[in-house]
Amino acid sequence: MIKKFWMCVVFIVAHVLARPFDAFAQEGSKRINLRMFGHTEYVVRPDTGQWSQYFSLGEQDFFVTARITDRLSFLGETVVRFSVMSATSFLPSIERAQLKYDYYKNHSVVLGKMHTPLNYWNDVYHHGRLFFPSIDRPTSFSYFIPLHTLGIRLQGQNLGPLGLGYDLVVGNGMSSTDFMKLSPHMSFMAAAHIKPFYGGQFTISYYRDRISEGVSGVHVGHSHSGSGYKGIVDFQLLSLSTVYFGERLEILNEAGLNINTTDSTGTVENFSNYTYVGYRFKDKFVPYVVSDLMLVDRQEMHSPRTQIWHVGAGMRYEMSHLFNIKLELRRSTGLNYAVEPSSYPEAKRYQIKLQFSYGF
Amino acid sequence: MRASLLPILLLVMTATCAFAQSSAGSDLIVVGNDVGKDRLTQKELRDHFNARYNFWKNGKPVVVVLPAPKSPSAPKISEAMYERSVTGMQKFWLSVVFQGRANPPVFTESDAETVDYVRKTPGAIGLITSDVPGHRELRIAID
Repeated sequence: MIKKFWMCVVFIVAHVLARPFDAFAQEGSKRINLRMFGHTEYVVRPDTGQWSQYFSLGEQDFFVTARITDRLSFLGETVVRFSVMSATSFLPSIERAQLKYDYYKNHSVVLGKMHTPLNYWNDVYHHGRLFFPSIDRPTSFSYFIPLHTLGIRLQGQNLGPLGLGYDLVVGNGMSSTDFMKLSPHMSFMAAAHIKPFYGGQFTISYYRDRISEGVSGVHVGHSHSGSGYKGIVDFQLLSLSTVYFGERLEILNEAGLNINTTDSTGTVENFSNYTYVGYRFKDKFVPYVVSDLMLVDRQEMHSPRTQIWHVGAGMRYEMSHLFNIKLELRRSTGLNYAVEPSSYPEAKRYQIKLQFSYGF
Repeated sequence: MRASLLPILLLVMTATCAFAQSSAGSDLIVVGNDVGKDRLTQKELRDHFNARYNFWKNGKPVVVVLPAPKSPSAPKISEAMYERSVTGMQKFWLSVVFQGRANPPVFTESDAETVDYVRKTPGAIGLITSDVPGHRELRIAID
């Protein structure tokens, strides 16, 4: 499979080189777009037995796209966000830096750091709080979802009457940095989606990686702390996304089955399911409900052993396409041997969040 | 049995009428430059305005030209092409570009600017609502 993939890449590179170079000199086709996205939150929640409240400065996202030639484009996304590693508590991070070449009709090859297109949320929203239907992304994104891949991707979209799309990605994998890795193993991902009707999309994907020495690099969930396991992990993830965003009704379901194999405990299965349902009225108001379940096996050696269920209800007010306000009440329940909420094992925790998301 | 079919028939007729009213054929004029054809179907037109294609069949890149939010023609065009408000149209494009799956459209302040941009840009397609001088040689018929 990998061999066929690389043969395909060689074919595309040969196709690019065979094109007349005068196409690359069309100054008129150069277009650059700069945008910024960000969010600020006000949070109320019970920590150590009493209620606390605070404002929180969220991610500040600098986004650029450029059409270099008719077929070649660039997309870059650099985010400044909270980090305990910084003296000012904030550090910049390159989230996406990708070159895309449209080699034939709706077929493209993408090279660089990208959001792993294994489910709808990671492909469509990722850092864009302005686009999030609810305040927070699914909990699994902070644990076993490989958010980014640094590598190469073959992409097709809107093919045929069903709007078929595919993504094939080979990359450095979860244990790498953005600069290098020490392992010979590459990650592989294959995804397919269809858009059979307006607003609807179904996505299925398979991701596989061989994580060296249990290292969690920069491409897994940002709050992933790792479990300290130092053995090799054979990581597999099957994802399913079901989406409908109509004129009024909005439904999004993200399901994930993570199968990890280690020498220590054999094969374990972890499961996640996020469901969002909203209903738009008066064009700008969307009340919604959310259920976010994550079940990590007791024998899991890679991800933190967390079993938690969040349920929430909220309201999104879209003042314009560049500014919205979300208010959400969330209840988190630790199940069985829950690690999170860390200070309230086995307990229920309520949280109220008010989020202001903007872009320009 | 016939009585039970009546509401379904009415529903289909209503939907058909709604689609016909929102079609671009009546009072919107389509202008394009070197798009490889001088006629488009309604579906082809909407597909191109909904970022479904990167290229025309003649190999030219699809460059969508849309009215800026405060342009007088924006509400009519957003309703006809996206069946949404102007804000909905803006949000759609912002989201698609953020995904990295399409190049951003070009926004113009007036019908005259749309015609001017389309004339200068091979592969560009736009919609206007008034009889702007010079648009006739760019006009694309809608079936």
